[in-house]
Amino acid sequence: MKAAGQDNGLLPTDVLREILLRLPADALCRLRLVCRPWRLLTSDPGFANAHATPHLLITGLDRSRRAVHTLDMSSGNILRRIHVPRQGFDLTTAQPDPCLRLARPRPKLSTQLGHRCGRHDAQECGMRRRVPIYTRAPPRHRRVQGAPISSGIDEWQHGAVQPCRNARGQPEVEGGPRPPMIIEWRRSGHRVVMGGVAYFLLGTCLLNSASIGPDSIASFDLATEEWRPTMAGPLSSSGSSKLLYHKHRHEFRLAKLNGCLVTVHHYQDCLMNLWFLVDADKGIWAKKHSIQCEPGFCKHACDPPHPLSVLNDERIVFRVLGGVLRAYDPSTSMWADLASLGGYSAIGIHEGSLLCSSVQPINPDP
Amino acid sequence: MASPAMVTLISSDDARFEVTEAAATMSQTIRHMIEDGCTDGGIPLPNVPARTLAKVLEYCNKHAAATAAESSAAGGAAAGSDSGSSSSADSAGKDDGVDLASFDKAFVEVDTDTLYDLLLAANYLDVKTLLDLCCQKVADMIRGKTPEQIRQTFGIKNDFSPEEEEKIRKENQWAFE
Repeated sequence: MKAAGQDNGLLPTDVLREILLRLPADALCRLRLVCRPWRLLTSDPGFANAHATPHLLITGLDRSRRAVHTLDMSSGNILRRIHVPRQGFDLTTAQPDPCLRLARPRPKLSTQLGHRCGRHDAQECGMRRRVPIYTRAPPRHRRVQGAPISSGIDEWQHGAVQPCRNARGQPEVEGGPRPPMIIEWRRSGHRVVMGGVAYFLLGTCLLNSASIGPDSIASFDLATEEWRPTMAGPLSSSGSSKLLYHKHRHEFRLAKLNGCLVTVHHYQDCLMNLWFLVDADKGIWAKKHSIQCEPGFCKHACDPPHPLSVLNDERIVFRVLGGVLRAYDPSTSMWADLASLGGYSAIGIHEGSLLCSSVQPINPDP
Repeated sequence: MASPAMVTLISSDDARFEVTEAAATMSQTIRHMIEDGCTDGGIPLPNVPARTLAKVLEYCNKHAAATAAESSAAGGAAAGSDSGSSSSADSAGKDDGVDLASFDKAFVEVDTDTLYDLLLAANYLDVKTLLDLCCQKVADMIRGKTPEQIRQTFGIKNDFSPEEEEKIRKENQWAFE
């Protein structure tokens, strides 16, 4: 057994690790002051990974819509509050439902923000730039300025879209690429950002839609800022069923489950299939779960249960109406409430780590 | 009923403990030794002193007995041949669950040194549930303490200079707000 250090040799490192894995991320960051071995252990990416499993992080906009909170789902405690600056990042006040923004770094903006919002906001906001995404919502053409709140690390998943149109109400094209089709951007569940690509379900106003599957997906490469070929969804790619775009398009949602793009298909009254994109290059989907919801669970078609994450014990965490998080256990087909976050909107999984972002080396020996 | 198989464990200070195989094999380390046939003349545990081993075995005996009661209760319920005895076995199993939780809680109400010894022994002997119990207890002790209080409680020397401390505070500022 390896001792944790001469002065701190009371506990072997592996035992200390087991103990510290049970503490929340904010406490661990404070405990980095205890001594070098503790700091080293809690800063290790492997430790951060192991810590992420029992301490699932949830983000949500608080009631005032001026702060994004990160919560530890195991305790329900708020770990971190990030102020949402009004100027420059009017993130959620414009729209009731936060939406995607697409972004790339722009140093100038980050400098301005750093001056305005203080250190942490600068860290959070610094890697952003609005990239216009062009879309159209009938009856009037709109330009949507969207920018993700996050660059590569997906620090935040949620942003807001500010619909913009020019003075004459005309579609405004200023050099950004147009999507191959009209995309749906307003509702969470209609777009997902994953691995540097933004995926969208297609929009509400499609002419000549007879040949388009209602589960088709448009994708935008964030790095190259180019649209990729539209992808066939799980049902239309299998060709087994005849789906009519106008009749069935409300049945589909997009989700990201543990790094995999998932199409959620709600059908009949209370049934839900989860299709995982198992091979993105070949466009192969696999139906991994067929879930019977509780009666009345899916009645609200505008906001059906939405999968957020698969836990280590295979349970799937869903966001349901009223900010409630509920877990579905595939082995027993049972549902159980996990947490009630009624005061929050735009609830999602925080995919980054609070433990492993800004560690700089300090010499191992004094 | 045949009497249960017994094994002898020998502590680092040569004390001998006679326990049921069911209790002893809660330790994966001992289970492997028994599987390898290294039990002749007792199983030596050179890393565990008698005082700690006695405490660990108290835990293992309690839990092994509870597991045995539970499985016999489940067996009785499954067979369902004698409704009177199966219902009594059932309620006994439930009592054991409550009893076990309070036993665990009381079991780790010990001083820091004893808790450390238990942690090290549970780790060496690989008794998963005991290790979990002790780790959770220490984590609960750490929760809410300042770094300085933790150093005092656990006898840790502060090896940071004031400048380094300031740097760490800055790096983790969000957690101190």
